[in-house]
Amino acid sequence: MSDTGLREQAFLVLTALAAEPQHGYAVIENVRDISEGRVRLHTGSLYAIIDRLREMGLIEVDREEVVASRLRRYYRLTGAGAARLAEEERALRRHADAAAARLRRFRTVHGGGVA
Amino acid sequence: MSHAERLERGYRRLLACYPVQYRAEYGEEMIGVLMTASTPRQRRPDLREAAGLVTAGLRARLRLTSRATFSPAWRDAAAAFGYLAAVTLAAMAAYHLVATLTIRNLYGDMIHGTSFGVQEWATLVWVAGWTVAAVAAGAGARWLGAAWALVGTAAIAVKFGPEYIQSPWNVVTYWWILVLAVTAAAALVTGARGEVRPLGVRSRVVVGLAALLATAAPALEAAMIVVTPVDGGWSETYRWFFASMRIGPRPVTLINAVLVVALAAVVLRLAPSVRRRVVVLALPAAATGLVVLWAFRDLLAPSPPFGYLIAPQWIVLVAVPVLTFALGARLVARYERKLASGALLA
Repeated sequence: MSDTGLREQAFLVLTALAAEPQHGYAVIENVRDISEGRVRLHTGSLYAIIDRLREMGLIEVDREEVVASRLRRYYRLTGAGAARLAEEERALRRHADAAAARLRRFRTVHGGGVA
Repeated sequence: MSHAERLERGYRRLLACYPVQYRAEYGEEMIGVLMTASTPRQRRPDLREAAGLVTAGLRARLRLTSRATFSPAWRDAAAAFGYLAAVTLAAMAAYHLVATLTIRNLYGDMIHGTSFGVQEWATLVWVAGWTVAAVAAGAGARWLGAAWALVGTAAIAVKFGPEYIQSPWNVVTYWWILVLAVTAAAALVTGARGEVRPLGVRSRVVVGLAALLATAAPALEAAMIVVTPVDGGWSETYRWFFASMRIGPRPVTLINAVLVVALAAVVLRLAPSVRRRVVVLALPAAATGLVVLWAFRDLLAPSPPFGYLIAPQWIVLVAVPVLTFALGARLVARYERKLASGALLA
């Protein structure tokens, strides 16, 4: 990920929460959809990321509900979280643009597809 | 018991890998997610989820431990303990050096082996290493103090290590000193930077002066005792032993008591949170000394059975300091949690 050090899984969790406040299971599903099935968070990883993002002030608890006698806690992006996600997004875009430009040049020089 | 209940019980068992604070914050929520993700007739935790919970739980524990280790209270305690232990270790070695030189000065004509060997050089480096470490730590030069503490620790190992071949029990007797040195060096490496905040200038000076007094004790006593020629019946070895005995007791004990009292007084003046941790840092050496006295008493007898240490004995010597520190740190954390929750204030 970017120089500022957000790992891919944390980036995807922030991206999931940028849509709307979500509970843990919904975040897992959302991350899988966003990454087109490539990133499948298990519960242990998800809560390690949630704990860290809360500590960094990037997400916070939105509300709590009890569904079928079980606690369901919803998390939402904070202002700092939105700013950080935007920063990450810009960094990723810069890197992607740089990669695309160099690939175009590579194809021009070598003529054709990348082996 | 239904499938769901059995599955939930399995997941709760796995959550035991997490620290208690973490479980209190996320435990029920995680159970909810795990149960939602399960299939209708699933009875056992999914293997991938189980592995993930164990790994994440242990990482959470590690993270919490490292955070606690580098908390301001621990870093202050480490700096204070590092200084006090460095002064004590320097005084111990200097005392033996002064005693040896004094005895040689008094009885040198009666004993063999007055040349300066590897062990004497090691004692010199031990004194130099821990003296510089104490002065540097006291002045706030933590890294210099830590570096010299490591030199001093290596010198202790060099001094006692070779003795293992001839007298394994001697190494056992002095093991607690090595434990104290390792703890002090680790404390100086991890302690707070800059001046030793928890210890005021007066405390540092009092401990330093008490250490100097203890160091000079053998020379002071030598000035007081009357040298009496030893009977012709004594062998050279026994003369040395006799001389050692003459130089040891009474005033020296009193002066050492002054150092112990000075250390205790300084520790008692520390803030409670720092004091608790300084005691925990002293536990490994103290516990090792006591365990050696109790569990290795046969080796320490006047005529010990000759033999090298066996694996279980080495395990005890290594495990006791580690476990006592871990237990002490855990008790401090638990006590302070109770204090914070008001359970002890009520």
